[in-house]
Amino acid sequence: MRTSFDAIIIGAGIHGCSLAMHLAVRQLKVAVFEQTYPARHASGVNAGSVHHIPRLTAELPLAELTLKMWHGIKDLLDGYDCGYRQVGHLKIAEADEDIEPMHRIAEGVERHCSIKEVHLDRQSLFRLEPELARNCIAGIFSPECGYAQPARTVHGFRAKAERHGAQFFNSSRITNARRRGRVWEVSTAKDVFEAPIVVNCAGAWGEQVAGWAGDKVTVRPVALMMTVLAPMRPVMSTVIGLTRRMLSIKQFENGTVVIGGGYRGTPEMETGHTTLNYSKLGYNLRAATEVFPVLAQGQVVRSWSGIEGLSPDMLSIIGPSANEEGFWHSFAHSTHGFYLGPAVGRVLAETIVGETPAVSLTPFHIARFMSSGSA
Amino acid sequence: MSNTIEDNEVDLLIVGAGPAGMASALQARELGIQTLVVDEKGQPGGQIYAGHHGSPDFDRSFLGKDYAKGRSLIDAFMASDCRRMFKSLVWDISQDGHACMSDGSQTSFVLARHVILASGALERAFPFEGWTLPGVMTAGGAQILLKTAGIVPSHPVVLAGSGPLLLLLATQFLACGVPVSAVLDTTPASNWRRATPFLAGFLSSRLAAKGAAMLLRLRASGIPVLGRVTQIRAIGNGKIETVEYRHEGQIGRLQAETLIVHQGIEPETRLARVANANHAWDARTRSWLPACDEFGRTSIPHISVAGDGRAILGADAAPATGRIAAIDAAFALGRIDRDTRQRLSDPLFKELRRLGKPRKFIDALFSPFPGLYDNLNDSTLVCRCEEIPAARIREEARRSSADINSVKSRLRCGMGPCQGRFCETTVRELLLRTAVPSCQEVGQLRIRPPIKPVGVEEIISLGVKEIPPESRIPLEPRA
Ligand SMILES: Cc1cc2nc3c(=O)[nH]c(=O)nc-3n(C[C@H](O)[C@H](O)[C@H](O)COP(=O)(O)OP(=O)(O)OC[C@H]3O[C@@H](n4cnc5c(N)ncnc54)[C@H](O)[C@@H]3O)c2cc1C
Ligand SMILES: Cc1cc2nc3c(=O)[nH]c(=O)nc-3n(C[C@H](O)[C@H](O)[C@H](O)COP(=O)(O)OP(=O)(O)OC[C@H]3O[C@@H](n4cnc5c(N)ncnc54)[C@H](O)[C@@H]3O)c2cc1C
Repeated sequence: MRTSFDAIIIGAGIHGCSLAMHLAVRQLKVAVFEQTYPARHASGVNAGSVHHIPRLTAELPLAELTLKMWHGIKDLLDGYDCGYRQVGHLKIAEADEDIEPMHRIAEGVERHCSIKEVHLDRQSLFRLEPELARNCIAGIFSPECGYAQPARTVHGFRAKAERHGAQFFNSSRITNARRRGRVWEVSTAKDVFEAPIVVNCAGAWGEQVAGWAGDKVTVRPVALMMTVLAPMRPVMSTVIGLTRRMLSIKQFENGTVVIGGGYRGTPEMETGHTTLNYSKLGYNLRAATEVFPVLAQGQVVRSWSGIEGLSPDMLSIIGPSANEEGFWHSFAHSTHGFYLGPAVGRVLAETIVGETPAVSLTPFHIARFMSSGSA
Repeated sequence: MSNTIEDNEVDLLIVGAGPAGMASALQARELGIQTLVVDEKGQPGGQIYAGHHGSPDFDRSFLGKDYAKGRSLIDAFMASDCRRMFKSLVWDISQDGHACMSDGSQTSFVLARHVILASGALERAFPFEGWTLPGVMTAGGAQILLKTAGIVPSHPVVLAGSGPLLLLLATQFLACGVPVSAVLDTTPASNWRRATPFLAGFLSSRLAAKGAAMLLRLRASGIPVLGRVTQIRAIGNGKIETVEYRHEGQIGRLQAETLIVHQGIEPETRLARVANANHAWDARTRSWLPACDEFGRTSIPHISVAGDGRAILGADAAPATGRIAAIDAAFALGRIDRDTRQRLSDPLFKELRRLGKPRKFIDALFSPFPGLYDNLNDSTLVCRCEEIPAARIREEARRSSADINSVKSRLRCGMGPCQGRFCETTVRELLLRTAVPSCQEVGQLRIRPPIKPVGVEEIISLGVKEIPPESRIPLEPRA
């Protein structure tokens, strides 16, 4: 006899776990299959930043919803502290020519949603972050943003999903999914499981999974590098980004400083291993010390990289299969999937069970990549 | 990795100048291989022969004959024409043979055609109540002070734990007049039972006589050596004052300002792991060892392991495994053919077989035993970096995955600067005992570079100075 479920989710990153939680509280019998263990990949090793800038306009309605959900994340996770701290996100201009584009970004945000941005001149910038280098000349501050602990957050969703009956299968790689009538047969190396609903939450591995439903899209896997410094005295209070070059810096409550921004190493998709690229990592740290000079005195405790999937247009792929009934996607979250996790799980769950979704997912449908001929 | 400087290329890089690394270098030079030896310490000698070279001069005769034996190896090594770099930490090795090494202020890249990791062993850290109190130290730590600086405690010390090093240190203390109040041997009866079938192999070796002589010397001196001791606790206010223990059903107490503890040693495999070499579970010593062939070649064709970093075989076997790895490196580099490799290695294999005879007994006797972890108090800290008590690990093992990396990402144990040096074995044993998964399921901590902390500016120096084009954010508005 085959084990059957109402919904099978492939992948236990933030998206698989958030969706599992939102489906399980809606009384669905959910199973999540993970080839390693929850939060092993991007969702557990990312920078933990919760902010919407600079994102594509199409994402802003989701951004607005997700920020609201982050503000109430402790209640959402039944009192569990996932380390969310609403310290605000600060985007900095390093040169005169950065200021105008930076303001355009902020105006774009305000035109499309109700998230508030505060424009900072040089003086107010230094009042907020006195340790900044003198070449920083202006900023936009988003007080509704912050950061959380990535792995803890994933496990917060996983634990609540489990409390509502979801089952998690670790070390269980899905090797295929086939539709028979109204039911999908989903296989691991050992077993076959059944469900009318299958959701592809396979992150950077999602291209292959999408292929089982005949959906074609090219997802580019990248290994994004991160570095953590040994605890330092308080240096900064907000989550920092720049206008012109990639950089992300934040300091956690224990004094450690985490530096990233999207500099790339090399991923190995079969094993999940990654290799650092020191010429880029070195530049990444250089950029950090050019913004906060005191970081040059820090000690690097660890560097690593996590595997993320980029969609062709850098917008997540969320919604129904273009070809098959009962097959859904939520993958290729294109470098900002962590902050989107709470909202995407909810909106996709609403869509799957036929409720009116809080936000339309149409701009994210996989069909946008498939001309009618290729489907 | 880019940024390679032409003259930073070598045929053979040897990490570690202990007996394995030194012998390996001598063998490599005999075969005409261009060789660079790098050691984090300021002098050659590794653990056992620390202090022979380049440390303050004082009479070291109390360290015994085995220690004195290192002199000739060190002299030969220092006289050889290999390149040597001391005070240099190798902190990353990539699969393509690039090594990053830091002298504490600068990091350089070396591209090696072959690498021998002779990085030795680490003492197995084991927590017990009060282990973080000042005044509690490991036997290895005490021995390094003794060997390199002649520093010894002047007040009575208590030694507790299990393993040959504990007895050795007690006799070395005795020889230089350190007052030892007692040796509390925690080796349990169950380990003796596991070891007894291998007793013959042990008795036929030099080590048996050595061990017996050490015990006799201690007994003759009147120092109490208590066996099958359990439940060691260090008690004190701000520093250790009393050692408490259980022996033959009774609680005993000893005044002590210094408690020296030891629970055996295990291979230091962080570089092999950072290079992503495969490892295999060794049930006998309850540890993960780099998977390798008889020559020490790992799953990464240009990386070999030798000495105690390959498997704990002791100081006498370390040079033999080092030489074998160097001979095999010459083969890998195309300098000698397969037959020559075999001919040169055969006598060394024979020597290893002889030296290996007592190992089964020693491994069984001193492997980590259940009582070490079962009796661990819920409130005792296991991870010192992140201050995580045993209870949290036991609790976490029952939830979700028992993969040690998953537990690390949930609790942060192993995420601190020590990268698990002080907690990995304990966390693994607690996971194995609580959720009863297989060793494969628990696995090993993934080690991230740098294997020990390195200054931010050193890593900056490896990088480009101009922004990589793909990291520039386009300034035109996004659609
Ligand atoms: C270094 C780094 C920093 C980042 N920083 C941020 C940030 O600050 N803020 C932000 O919002 N986002 C950030 N991101 C992006 C964010 O982490 C990702 O977009 C998000 O975690 C994606 O979640 P996911 O659940 O889709 O994917 P994943 O976390 O990758 O999860 C997918 C899971 O599916 C599993 N899987 C794949 N195929 C199969 C199969 N066939 N069978 C079973 N299981 C399978 C994988 O093992 C994996 O665990 C960062 C990403 C990285 C790598
Ligand atoms: C604390 C301790 C004390 C010991 N005392 C004794 C004793 O008294 N008598 C005895 O018979 N055996 C002793 N042993 C056992 C000892 O390990 C072996 O007998 C012998 O020293 C093994 O030789 P080796 O060359 O394999 O390793 P080691 O002698 O340990 O040499 C390894 C060398 O590699 C260097 N190294 C490691 N990693 C790096 C890196 N990343 N970069 C640069 N350099 C690196 C280390 O600094 C060290 O010098 C001791 C072991 C330990 C752990």
